[in-house]
Amino acid sequence: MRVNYTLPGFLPSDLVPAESTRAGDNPFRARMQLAPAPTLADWKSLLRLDQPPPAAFAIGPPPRPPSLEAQDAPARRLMWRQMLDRQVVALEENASTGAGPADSNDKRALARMLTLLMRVRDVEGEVASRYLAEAGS
Amino acid sequence: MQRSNWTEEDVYLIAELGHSLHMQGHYREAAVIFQGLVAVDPENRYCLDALAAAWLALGKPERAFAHINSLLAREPADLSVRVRRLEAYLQIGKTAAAAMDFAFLEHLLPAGEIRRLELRLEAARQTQEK
Repeated sequence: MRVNYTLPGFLPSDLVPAESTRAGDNPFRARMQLAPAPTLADWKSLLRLDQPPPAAFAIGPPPRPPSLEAQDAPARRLMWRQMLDRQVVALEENASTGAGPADSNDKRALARMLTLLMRVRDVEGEVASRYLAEAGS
Repeated sequence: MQRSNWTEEDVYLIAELGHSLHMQGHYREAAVIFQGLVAVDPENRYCLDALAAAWLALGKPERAFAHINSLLAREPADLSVRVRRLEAYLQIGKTAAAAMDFAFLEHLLPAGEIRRLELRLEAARQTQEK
């Protein structure tokens, strides 16, 4: 009995000859785009020791007060907005009555912070309304 | 001590936003927030440390020193604050003062962190010698 070891449609004679590995005048190396070698001045710049490391100004999250219960995002957002409204009203009242921080630098720092927080709240509102408008359409 | 109309929760909610801004690289905004919080609660360790970190990130180490030193006056063994002071000293080129903080930290921090600080110190010394 004779066994035919060739697969139908895959006869050795049908194979396309492989591309010659010798490319002659156009070697693969010539086609490679070599990156220029880094021109580092010394070991300090190589190890980035001339720059402040991220660890120098890394901070962790603030410690959560035990009295603050875990809340979902909408409840948290509402709480944040109510707190901000309360503090803005208090700042305005203090401005009219002369109460609040005695130090003028502290007063200014507090006012700047609340102005920034109000801006953040407005931007958050804009983003939320845009999202709702896009979701509704 | 906190001001009367501010609760611990209020400070936390705002500090959380400050932390988030700092992590996103918005150091100027984070500094504004932590300055406000320090005005509200001058004893708050987290806010003082975070404000010092924001000043360092903004390349203003001289502003960070006041907060760092007040923290160390209260808690001289606070290692993370001492590392921050060492970095602040290096930023302004006070390598001798940085070396003193390094000597304090040398046997207290993990080996990898000590090696990093040692290299930073060595680099600063060589830069000064040039």
